[in-house]
Amino acid sequence: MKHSDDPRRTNAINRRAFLGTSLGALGLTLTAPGAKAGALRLLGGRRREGERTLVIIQLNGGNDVLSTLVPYADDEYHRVRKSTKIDHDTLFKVDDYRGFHPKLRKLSKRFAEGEIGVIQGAGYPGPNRSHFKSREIWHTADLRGRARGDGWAGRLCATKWPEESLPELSVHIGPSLPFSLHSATHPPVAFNTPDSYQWLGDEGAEGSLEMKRQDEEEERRPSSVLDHLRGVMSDARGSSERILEAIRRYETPVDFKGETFSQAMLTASALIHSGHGSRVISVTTGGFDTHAYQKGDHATALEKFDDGLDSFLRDVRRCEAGGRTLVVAFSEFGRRVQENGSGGTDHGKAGLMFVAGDPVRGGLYGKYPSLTDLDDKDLRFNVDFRDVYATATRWMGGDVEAVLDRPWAGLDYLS
Amino acid sequence: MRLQLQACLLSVCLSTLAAGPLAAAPHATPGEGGDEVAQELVWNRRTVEHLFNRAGFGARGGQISRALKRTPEEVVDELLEGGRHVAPPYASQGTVEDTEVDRSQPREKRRRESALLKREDRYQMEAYTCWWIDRMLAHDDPLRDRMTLFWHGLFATQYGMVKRSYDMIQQHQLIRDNAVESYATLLHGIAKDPAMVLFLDNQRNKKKAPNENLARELMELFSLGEGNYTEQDVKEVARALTGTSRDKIGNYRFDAKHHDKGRKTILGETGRYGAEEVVDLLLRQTACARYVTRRIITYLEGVPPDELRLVEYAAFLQRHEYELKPFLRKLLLDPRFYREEVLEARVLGPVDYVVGSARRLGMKISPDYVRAASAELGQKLFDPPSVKGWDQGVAWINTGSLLARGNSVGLMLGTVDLEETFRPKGKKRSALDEPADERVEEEERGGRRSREEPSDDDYEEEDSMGGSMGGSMMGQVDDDEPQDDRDPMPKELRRLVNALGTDYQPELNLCWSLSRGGVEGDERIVAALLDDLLAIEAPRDTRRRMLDYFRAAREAAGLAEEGFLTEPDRAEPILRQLAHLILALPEAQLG
Repeated sequence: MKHSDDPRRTNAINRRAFLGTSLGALGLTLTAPGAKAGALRLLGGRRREGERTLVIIQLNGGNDVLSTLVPYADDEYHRVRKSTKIDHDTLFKVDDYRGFHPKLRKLSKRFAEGEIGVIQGAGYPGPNRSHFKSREIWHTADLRGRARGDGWAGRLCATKWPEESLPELSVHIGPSLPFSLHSATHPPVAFNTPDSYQWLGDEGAEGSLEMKRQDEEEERRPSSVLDHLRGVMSDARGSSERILEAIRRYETPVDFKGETFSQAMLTASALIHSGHGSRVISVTTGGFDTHAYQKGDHATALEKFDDGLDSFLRDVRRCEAGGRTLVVAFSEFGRRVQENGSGGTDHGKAGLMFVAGDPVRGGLYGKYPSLTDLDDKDLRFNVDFRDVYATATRWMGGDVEAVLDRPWAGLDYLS
Repeated sequence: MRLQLQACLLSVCLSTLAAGPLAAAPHATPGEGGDEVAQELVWNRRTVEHLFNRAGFGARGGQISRALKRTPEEVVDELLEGGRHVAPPYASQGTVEDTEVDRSQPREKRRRESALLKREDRYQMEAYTCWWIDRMLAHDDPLRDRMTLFWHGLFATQYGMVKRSYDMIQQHQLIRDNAVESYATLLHGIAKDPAMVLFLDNQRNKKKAPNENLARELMELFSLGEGNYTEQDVKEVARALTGTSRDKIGNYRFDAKHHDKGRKTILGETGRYGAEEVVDLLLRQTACARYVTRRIITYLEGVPPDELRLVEYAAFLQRHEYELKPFLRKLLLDPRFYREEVLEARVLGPVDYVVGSARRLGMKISPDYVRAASAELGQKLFDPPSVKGWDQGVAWINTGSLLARGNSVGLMLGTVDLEETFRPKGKKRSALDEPADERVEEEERGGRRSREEPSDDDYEEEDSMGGSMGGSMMGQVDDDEPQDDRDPMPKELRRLVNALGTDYQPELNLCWSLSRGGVEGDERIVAALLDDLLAIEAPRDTRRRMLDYFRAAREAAGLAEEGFLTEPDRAEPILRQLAHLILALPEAQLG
């Protein structure tokens, strides 16, 4: 794709501001949320110094606490996990009670060096064991789920940077955009991979996808939906060009595996290195819904996570902005204590969270949930995930109450 | 009284707007003893196209002109009548033995066999999906397929969780056979449908250990809507649904020993209810008629109905005992269905967009491509992100999915050459290159894990991996597949290329269609393509831009305006590029 200096492109942001005024003059209500986005945002995409970045990693499917941070010294563990238990000898021991799964080799090394925070027993009251309902709760930081209207990270962007017009302020890399980034005024940029995130047709046609400046005044039939879609096109063209540029120019000596999650983390790192303004980056990795064949499947899923996270942490450190990057990893729930009859485990409640990056003070947080004092056969939570979010929100300079509805005290995992 | 007057004024205002400057003069056939309704309804190219967009998958070629020569009643009645019945492909049910685990075999062998069965099942699911898409493309029974797509999203069930194509197919047949017939039949069927029972764990709903999943969704999503029942009602409905179960190969089974025969009090009524009685009870509720009415009208119009209209239609639906044809006839002949607010304001879902584009282009496209492309764009048929189905409207579009739509059409048109764009660095194309299919097969073998069919007691609710809920959707795909290091083409594009097949040639002749239509000259060519390809009327600035592009492309190719279409070898590629551009526009996402 040609990266021409098309004057129409830089004017796109001005155009939206202009359109906002003219539609306002017509007294039309903009019912489509994105139309508001187009109308309200003003110019402001300049490069900023000293800004922080939040990287949110979602482990899809419900990551099993007992297999990730294994309570090898607990008799109950051996009783309830006869076929799915992890061999004592293969663990990376943390202390005389627990150890990391063998596939978390790099993570456990970093943990030993004080770089990873593990939040044991993270959850929320009245837990929901449905994937989609529980994810909604984690995404909105609200027990009502999507009824809240926007995602917590979307709220962070909207409240912290209300005037920001850069579409890629929040970015999701991967096929399915989580609701955490959802915002009526600051819709995220989402793309699967940078290479498919571009116009692949005739180069000469690309410029004609968007309205020209001089046509705006003549446009006599404003339709709020069409206006919204035009705004999305404008965001897409601009952000795709910038993102591709950031990725294509990027070179690193750090090794990233070819697998999807690692590649997505490479893209995330490249974005951070480019410094042009993404503040929230979201990635997901899957394979954790281990109802059966848990030992093999969970190991694979953890290995992918380990590889991707480690390469990212190594790579992102090579630039200054990387030192101001915080990673928060979560899953929509943990899994049942008692294994099922199919060599796996079913949906549970409390889970683990990981925090990583230079700002983090490594170590164990919260308490390892008891395997016997259970919440209807499931692990009890002892850290509300909103406290974990609150710390991240505060660190990003956001207003905790605006983003998370209550003045959560936060969990002290930053140095 | 005042409210009614206001409503009257509103509808007068709206119909004035509808007959405003942009609408052509009404072509309604003057009724000789015609309907009241027909005389108010504005019947012109725009509204006819709108009818075909909503009650079908878009109008094609002369369809609009032909429809204009008839009355709205005739056209709507023909849609309701439907078309020829085309039998679905044979679907194998499998045997109970297939579902059982032979523990005498080593684990690796079991796993491989399981993987093989899974793959075969997936092929069967894909084959059936392609059959359905073929129906949509053929447009023999457009209203039926439109309503099937609607119910498919309402009675949402995930193949990724049910894992049996046979079960999903039976459910789909229930839905498709009754899509324009009876909601009552649909609700009765769904409450006992084996795929739904498994999806919502009702085989685990037993007297001694109730499971509320099906009971809750039956009321919340399938009949009454949130806020029209209490938690106690959920518990009681769950009791009534105990025993509604299935066997391992997708047959309905009633487990009397697990059924709670006691008295239940649901929504104020008491009785020894079982599944059928519960459904009858739900159908008696006004809330049910309201909920179904709201869902249908919102889907077909793209805008929720106002309270007056909701009351009117809900009462009508209930009076007609949930028969859908009278309801749909009323709606499709309602002048308000054609009001300005509704026209051109709905965002096309992925299936709509891909099927619609193929239809408007007048090109043959493989249903497998439609299936793959729709999945990439966020609508994987038979695998919605959750029991809530897919979010409609602007939620379909985000920056990634908008660009992906244009690219998916470009692939169809042959104006996107991915092999060239993603050639491995420094590697010349040679006959020794591994064909694309093999590469993805390897990925699938390596990356996709197999899953044994879990036993009834232990299975719980699950939704498809990699799916999101709420917000905008991109591709719904399993994000566990490894990126093949050797393949520089992103796998989301590789999937599409594979679906087209090697040596794909678009079956299309824009040059010929245009000359046959007597179209000549830049302006008329551009106008004709815009007219054909957009489901909405193109704004003026868009027309100008398309004309500028076309003219520049034609001139760059050294072709004169006059006689342009007489040089198909050189004209066709330009026409296709223009078609691609048009279908990638924001305007092309509306219908």
